Amino acid sequence: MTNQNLISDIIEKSPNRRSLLKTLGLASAAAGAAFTGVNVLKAQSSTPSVVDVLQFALNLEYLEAEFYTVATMGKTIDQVGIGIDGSGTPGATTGGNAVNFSNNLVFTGQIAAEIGADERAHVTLIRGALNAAGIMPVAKPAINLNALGIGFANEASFLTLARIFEDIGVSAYSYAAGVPTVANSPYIGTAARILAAEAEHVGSIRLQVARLAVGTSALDSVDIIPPPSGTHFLSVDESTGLVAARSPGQVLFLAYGGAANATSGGFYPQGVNGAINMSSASAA
Amino acid sequence: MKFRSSLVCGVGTLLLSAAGAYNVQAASVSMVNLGTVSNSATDTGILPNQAQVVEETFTLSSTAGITAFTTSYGGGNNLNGTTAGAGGFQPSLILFNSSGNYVMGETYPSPVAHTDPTTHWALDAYLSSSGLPAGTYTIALADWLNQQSPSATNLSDGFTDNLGSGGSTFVDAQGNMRSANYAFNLSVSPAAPPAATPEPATLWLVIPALAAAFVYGRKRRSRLV
Repeated sequence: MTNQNLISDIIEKSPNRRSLLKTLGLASAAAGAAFTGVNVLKAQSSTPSVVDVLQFALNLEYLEAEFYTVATMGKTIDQVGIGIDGSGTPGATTGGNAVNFSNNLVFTGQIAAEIGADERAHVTLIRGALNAAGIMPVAKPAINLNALGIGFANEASFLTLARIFEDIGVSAYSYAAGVPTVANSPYIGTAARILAAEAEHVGSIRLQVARLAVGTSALDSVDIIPPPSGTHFLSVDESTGLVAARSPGQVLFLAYGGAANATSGGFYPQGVNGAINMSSASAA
Repeated sequence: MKFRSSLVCGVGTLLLSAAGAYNVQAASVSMVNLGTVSNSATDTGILPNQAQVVEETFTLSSTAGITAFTTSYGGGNNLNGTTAGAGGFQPSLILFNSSGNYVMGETYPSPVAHTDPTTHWALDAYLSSSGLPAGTYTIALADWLNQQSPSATNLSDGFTDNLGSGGSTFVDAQGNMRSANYAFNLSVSPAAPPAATPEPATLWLVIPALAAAFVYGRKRRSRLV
C-alpha cells in the first residue's frame, strides 16, 4: 500500500473531513495557529492532541531519515527529493558523512540502506497525512548529526548511533500509542505499522551490534543495551514482555543531549518544531 | 560478447595488522591486477587458507557500469568461457576506490547465483554499480567470515578473520564444509552516451515561416524586376 493509500485510508475512516478535524482536536482552533508556539505550555501541561503527537513524530523521523540518508548516500533528505518545508523554524542539517560499510558479515550497509528508505517514507507519510487533513507539517528543524561525536567514522560508530535512534524511536511510538487522542484517532492503525517497522529496525540493528561486538552504554534507566556490553539481544523487558515507553519529554531529554527542561540542544540545536518541544527529566 | 581472459600481473602476500577488538587473526592478501577492463575479466584460483583475501584491482578508462559476481559456490559459466564447478567457499565482495575508500558492498542475494546441488543454497556473491567514474578500483574477495573490522575506515586497515578457522577449513553459513576454490567475474559496460538533445519544438514552426518569407521575397523581387 502506498503512502497515498494509507492517507486515503485514514481519511476514509472518518465520516467526513469535519469529523476528522474534530477527531484531531482542531475543530475549535485555527489549524495554523495551533503550531506556532503559542500553545506550547498548554500542550505540554495537558494531553497533547494527535496533531501535536504527529508533528513531534515528524521531528524524530526527520532526524532518523537524515542520519541514514547521509550515512548511506552522503546526501541529506532534501537532496534526494524529500519535502522538508513547513511551519516553525526550518534549519540546515550539519555533520555526518557516508560511512564505510566494508564489514558485510551481517549486511550492515544493505540493511542501513533499507532502513533509510523506510525513514524517508515515514517522513513523507506523516507529512502527507497532515497535509491531507489540512494541517501544515512542521518544517525540518536544524539538525546536528555530530551531536554525540559518533555515527559516521566507521561501521561500529554507525551502529552505536543507529541503536540509540532506533531504541528511542520504538519507545517514543510505544508511548504515543497510549496517548488517548492518538489511540482514538484514525491514525492509530498507521502509527502501529510505523511502530512495527521501527521495531524491526531496532531488532536488526541490535543483532548487528552484538554480532560485530560493538560496545554500547545505557542512555537512561529504562535502556536495555545489547551484547557485548549488555546481556539482552532484544530491548524487551522480560518480566513484562514489553518494550519501554518514553514520553516526548523523556525522548527530548535524550535528543537534546541529556538536558532536562530544555527547548534545544544536542541533535536539535534550535529545538524541534511544533507544540511539543520541551524536555523533561530522563526516563526512570 | 567478447570475453577477455584475466591478466594476473602479480601476486604478493602481505600480512596486515588489524585494529580493534576484532583482531583475532590478521588476514593475508594476494593481489591480482586485471589491468584496464573494457569488457570483462575472470580470475579463478584457490585460496591457500581461509584467512586469505584476494584483491582484484582493475582500471576503467571511462565512466562505466560494472557487475562483479562469483560462480564458485554454486557453479556456473564464467565470462571467459570456462565453467566453474560448484563446491567453493561462500564468498564476499567489497568494492573500494583507488584511495582505498569503501564504495559499495555486495547485494544479497545474488540475482545470478546458481544453487549448489549438494547444499541446495545459492550463496555466491554479487555487486553491481551503474556509473563508476574512470579510475582504478579494487574488489576484495574473501570468505564470508573474513571481513574488515567494524572500526575500519579504509582498505588498508585490512581484514580480520574473526570467526573462521584461519586454516584450510571452509564452512558456509549453513555449516557445510566447502573447498578453497573461487571464480571471480567482472563485466564492464561503458556508460551510454548522453541522449541527443531534441530540437526545440518552436524551431519547426519557425523554419516554414522563414521558408515562406524567403519564397514570398523572391516572387516579389521578380515582379519588381
